[in-house]
Amino acid sequence: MQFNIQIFGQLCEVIGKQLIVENISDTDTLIQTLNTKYPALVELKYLVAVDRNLVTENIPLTNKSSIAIMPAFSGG
Amino acid sequence: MKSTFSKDRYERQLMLKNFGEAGQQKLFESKVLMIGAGGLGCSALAYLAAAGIGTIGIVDHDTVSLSNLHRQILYRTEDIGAFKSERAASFLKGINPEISTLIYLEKLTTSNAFDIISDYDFVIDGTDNFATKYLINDACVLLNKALIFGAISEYEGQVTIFNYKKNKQDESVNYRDVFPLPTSQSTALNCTTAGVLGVLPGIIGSMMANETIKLITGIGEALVNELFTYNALDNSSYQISLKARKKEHSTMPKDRKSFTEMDYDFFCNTQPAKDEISLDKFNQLLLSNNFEIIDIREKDEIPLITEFVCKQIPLSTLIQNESMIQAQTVVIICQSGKRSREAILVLQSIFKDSKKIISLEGGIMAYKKAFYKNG
Repeated sequence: MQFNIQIFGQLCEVIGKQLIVENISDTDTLIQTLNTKYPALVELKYLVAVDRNLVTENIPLTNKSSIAIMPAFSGG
Repeated sequence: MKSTFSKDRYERQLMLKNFGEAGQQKLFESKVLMIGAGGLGCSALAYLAAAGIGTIGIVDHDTVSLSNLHRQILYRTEDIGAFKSERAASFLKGINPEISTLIYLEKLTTSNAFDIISDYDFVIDGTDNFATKYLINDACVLLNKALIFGAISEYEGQVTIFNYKKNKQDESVNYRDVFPLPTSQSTALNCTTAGVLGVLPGIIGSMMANETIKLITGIGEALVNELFTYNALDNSSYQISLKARKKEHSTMPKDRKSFTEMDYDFFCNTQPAKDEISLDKFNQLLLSNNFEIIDIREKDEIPLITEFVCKQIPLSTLIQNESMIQAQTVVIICQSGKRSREAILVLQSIFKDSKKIISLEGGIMAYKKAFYKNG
């Protein structure tokens, strides 16, 4: 399966605005794949959303899943 | 303060369907605390005061500087050097003398947060750093106060409402459900390091005021447990539904006592750690046997550690593998010393006082540098 991941905030500086990831079946694998490909992500905490819902534990992905990753913003 | 509101002042609001005098009365009776009178705070405060929130508290101990003025719209050039909360309160009085304002010319800390926040019905976070954002979140959870949250990063901004239940049976979500562990402040961008277009906190702060008014009056659909993100460059928005995480391994303080003891600057990596050991002390420790070293880097990270014996348990799997940690004294090692701080917090929440958990200052990079320079 191929996923077009939407990227927000400071993560764009590490990854770019969009990213295509292949061969992932669940969100844990997605996080591991991203952190291995972009080690800077390990220090930058980010949330994962699937179909516009916050992911709080490992969930399977389907070919219709829309994925977004977003860091915490701290400016005020 | 007058005992009732002036109908003429709020005429256009009173005309609104579903708002009316009942809505205005609710605003008039409400007490809202704005923490941070910067970019977000200024725009939120102006609209909240104009709308007729009866009591507005402002927490800010900072003074106005020239570089604030492009976005912090309550301040004038002649205010440079003056306290923001004083100038903001004075500006709000000018907009609406019918409301009460209280100012807190102090930094929000674990010592004063409970006393300040408990006097209010709603709390708005307009601060600009993670340490205070976690502190406000935790205090609001422990005091059961609704928190209207906002933050910006360059051209993007976020708004949501934490710790609020529309119905009794609903679950409430807080900041730690979204980001259980903080991004190190030294890694994160803020307005000082990354810049910000002045109008963006104006937009996001106005949204925060709007969400506050909706919560108080009960009109519309407020962003409860919904994280709204806006991009000022392309006008796109993205909304994510939030939910609570399992509480077992939360680093959230359990009560007022543990909240007071929490070191938020350490948690967010803004101050030197208390639980770090220097290279010299680490080298001394290596001569003894009564401890364990854990490398919490992910599996493929280099350089490999060959100079001393250590166990590899990546930070992401620490909780599942807690049984692998057996010694009373544990030294955590990562690449630069940053991730070790998080590992310490995770392990302290598991082991409490039964183990001494420390991290190596500067991580393996500092160790290798010194080892090969001297050796």
